[in-house]
Amino acid sequence: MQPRTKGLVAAVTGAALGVTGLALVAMPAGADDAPNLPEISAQELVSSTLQADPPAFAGSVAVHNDLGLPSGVPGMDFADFDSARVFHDGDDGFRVSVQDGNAEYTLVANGDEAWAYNSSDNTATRFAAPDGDKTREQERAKGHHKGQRPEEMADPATAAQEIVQRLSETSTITVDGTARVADRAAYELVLTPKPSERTVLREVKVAIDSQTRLPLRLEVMANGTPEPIFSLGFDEFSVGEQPERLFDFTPPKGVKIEDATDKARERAEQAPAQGEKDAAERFGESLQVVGEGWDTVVTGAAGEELLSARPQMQDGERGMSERDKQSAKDLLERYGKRVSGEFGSGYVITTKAGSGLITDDGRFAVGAVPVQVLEQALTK
Amino acid sequence: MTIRDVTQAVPAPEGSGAGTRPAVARTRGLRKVYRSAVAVDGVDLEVPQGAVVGMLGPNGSGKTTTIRMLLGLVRPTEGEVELFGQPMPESAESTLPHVGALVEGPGFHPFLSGRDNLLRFAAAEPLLPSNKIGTAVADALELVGLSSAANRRYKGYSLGMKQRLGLAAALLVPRKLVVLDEPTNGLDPAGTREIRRIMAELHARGTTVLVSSHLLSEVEATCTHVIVLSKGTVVAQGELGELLEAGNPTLEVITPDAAQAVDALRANRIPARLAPDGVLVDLVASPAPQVIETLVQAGVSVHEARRKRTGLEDLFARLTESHEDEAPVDLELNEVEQAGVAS
Amino acid sequence: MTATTWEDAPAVTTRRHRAPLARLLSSELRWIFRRPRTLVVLALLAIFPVIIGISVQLGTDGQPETSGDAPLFVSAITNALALPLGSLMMLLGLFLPLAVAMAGADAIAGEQSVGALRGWLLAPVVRGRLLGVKVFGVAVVAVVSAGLVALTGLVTGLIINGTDGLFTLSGTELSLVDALGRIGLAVAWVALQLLAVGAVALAISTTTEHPMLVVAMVLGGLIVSQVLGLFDALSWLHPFLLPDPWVSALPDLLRDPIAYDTLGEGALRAVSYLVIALSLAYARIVTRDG
Repeated sequence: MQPRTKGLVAAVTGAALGVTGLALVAMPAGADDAPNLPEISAQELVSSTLQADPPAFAGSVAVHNDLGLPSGVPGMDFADFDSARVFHDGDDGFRVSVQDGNAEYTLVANGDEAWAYNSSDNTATRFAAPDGDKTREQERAKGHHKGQRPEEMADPATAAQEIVQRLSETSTITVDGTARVADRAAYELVLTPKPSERTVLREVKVAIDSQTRLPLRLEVMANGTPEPIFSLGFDEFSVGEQPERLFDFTPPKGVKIEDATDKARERAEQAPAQGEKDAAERFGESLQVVGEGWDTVVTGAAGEELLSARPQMQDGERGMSERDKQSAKDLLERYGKRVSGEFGSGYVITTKAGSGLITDDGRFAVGAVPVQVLEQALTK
Repeated sequence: MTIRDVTQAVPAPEGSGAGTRPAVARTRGLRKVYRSAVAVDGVDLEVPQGAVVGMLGPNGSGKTTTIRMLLGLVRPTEGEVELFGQPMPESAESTLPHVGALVEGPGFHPFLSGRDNLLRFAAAEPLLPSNKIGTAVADALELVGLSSAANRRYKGYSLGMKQRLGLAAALLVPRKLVVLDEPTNGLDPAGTREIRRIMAELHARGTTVLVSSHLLSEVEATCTHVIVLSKGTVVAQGELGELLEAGNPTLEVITPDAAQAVDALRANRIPARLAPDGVLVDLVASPAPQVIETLVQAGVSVHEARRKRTGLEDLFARLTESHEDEAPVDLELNEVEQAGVAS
Repeated sequence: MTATTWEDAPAVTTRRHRAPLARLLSSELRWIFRRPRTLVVLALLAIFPVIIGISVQLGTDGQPETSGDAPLFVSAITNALALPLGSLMMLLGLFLPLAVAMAGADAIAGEQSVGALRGWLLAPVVRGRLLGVKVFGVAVVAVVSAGLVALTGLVTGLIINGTDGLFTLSGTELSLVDALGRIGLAVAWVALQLLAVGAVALAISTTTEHPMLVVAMVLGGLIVSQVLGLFDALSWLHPFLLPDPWVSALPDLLRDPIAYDTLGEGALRAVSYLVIALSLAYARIVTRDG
């Protein structure tokens, strides 16, 4: 073979192989066709899900959110983690590792105790299962199946019927085909709001594994966008025995150890100022649920002073940015839209998943609904 | 007289000893085009075994390109190359181990010593057993007179030392063919003599040598065969002696009556020119006895008459310069004489 | 040139001769590790983890930083594992690729620039084999530079924290053997990434005779890739960028159990780059004029 031909063959073959490799990296797994699964009714599916006894598995969970929340608002990054890994031993043990940049937050639980370890400040927190051992012992003695639900849930078929019935009042429940989630065959259980419901949401989809009947993915769809605005689900899931050591935690030397129960006691002992206490109580009492089903709106009164209050520097916290020091009102002015009506006047923040309204006198309403529904709720 | 005539006057490759001695290297219809520039075109050459072949040509005449194709460094656009009867560059692994070459100047790393540089190339020599590398390198350094500077960094070498180290690399193992591209470039007279000595030694051992140069004195002094390249084509090749004889036969006549002699000859339509000690007579039209007879009849006293040897320099100068423009005749003659004195 | 050997020279036949491969490889390594520039870069790579270890220890008075986004080796104050891995992670950004880019540049363009490549081709070492020897040399530089960083990082970490301070980001204590295994894995992974960079350098190296041009192009390409990796709008492009997983993958070795996803993807990506670059380098070197 001539060197020119030889070189050309090598270049083309190598480049093709390499690009294929890169494409493999780029292609998300599980883009295959929907699997063929036997037909199943919504009620049967819910029932079998309730009955399911999760096997030992390992998986990783990813969150995608496209809620359209204004960026830069403190406290809005609740679902902002890279990924989480979940391990379950099929019994009482589980382990969740949430990856956040170079740090990791690990939660380990077995039947006896639970630990949380935070690598960024190198602290381990112990949660003792309060009297958990005893209850469990008693349950075991009574011959209860492990992980069984409360008494009223004892018969999954009845429970499923009840759940489906309750949901049917406001939603259409269907099994809408199948999907492949984390490379596993799953049924798609779809909840669609009845036409009478006033909501910005289009549907909620739950993918349920065809074998283990575990929910593998939750997707929330809103009007006007084909992609889910929020999805939480496994991108990897494999059933199988997990090494026992994963469900044990022994804090290494040099780690700060805290006890959650001690901490809670301390906090309780530090009696809050009377004013704060009252405000919190008032806030709790003011909470009200208006409407039901998809157009449920939560209203309440936060109190005028909360709007102008600036976040306090807490002990040991350093490096708060200027942004963090803004008052709620500053933020509303920046991200909210001024509205007024029968309810008074205030700011409204709209996202793909719903909206929130805060009046100038500190009342608020939140729901997965258009703004008009919020206004009505506050007018009532 | 044109270039074409000269080429015809030179015996063809078949006649230049190929019948008795097999060719070590041979090319046929060799052509190399770089982008649009033709570097070498239609080169047929032959390097007979045991010969010391000088490849002569001005800079840019295609010597280095031809050598690079001969050694398989460059693939010809057209034509064939054979080394030891095997096609190149396909047979590089069976032929090149027997070939030592110094092409386009020495290529060594400045941060390594001369010895370490040679050790590197020795490691790549297929015919050198691993346990003989050390002695081979020491012998090669000894041969080129670099033993005392062997442990100095190549960076500090003089131009001549660098050239000699390149020669040492070419002579690491016993070779059947040694190819030297402009080996005396940048060397002082002593260095040049040294290279000549080594080439003579190689020749004595029966090694075939191909050496390129743009200095004909060098080729004249050391070679048995000559190949003359000009503008990418072979304009002459053959044994040195034959090439020296070729060209216009001229009779040199020593006489005190030079002017009278020229007049007499021209009157008889015999071309003649003035020379310092007499006249030069072109023998193309008339044989030597007729010239002498004419002169004697005209009363010119002829002290001495001899057939003049056409120097390779004369040939070379005419071959190369005439392409560009016709050199003045007188100048050409002066060069011939100087060449005669030098050699 | 002793007369006897010269006259005993074997006759020319059609038999092909090749210098033993081991001899070529060891000669290549001797050449690489005698180059003063290479030694300086390796020395700097070796010193870096020591400087980081000491300065982190002094700068924080032995107290870990509590803010969330602290670099990995901030936890090196208490964790001997974090220093070698953190150093590898930080040096992978520029300095380690520089070392292999230089090796790749010198391997062919550098040889060509002094005319030594001709020596190889005339010996002869056939071109495919020559490329193989050069790839080997670059691979050794990749392994040695990654290994050196990990080694001095580990030793510094152990001196500062002792063998007690070996635990993962998940709060699991590791045995020394387990820790060494993870560091070994990190070195192998980093070396593979570096080899991919070196292969790209070799590919560029076959097209020029200016080694510094090769280094500039490789580092320029890396910097552009890293910048492109910062834009979320270009997320479709990210899987094709070699340095994309460089920051995120190594901490995964500090988790328990090790998360292999990003590491595996990064390895596949590096192998893809390697295959593309080496096939182009091969195509170029067999057709190039010597």
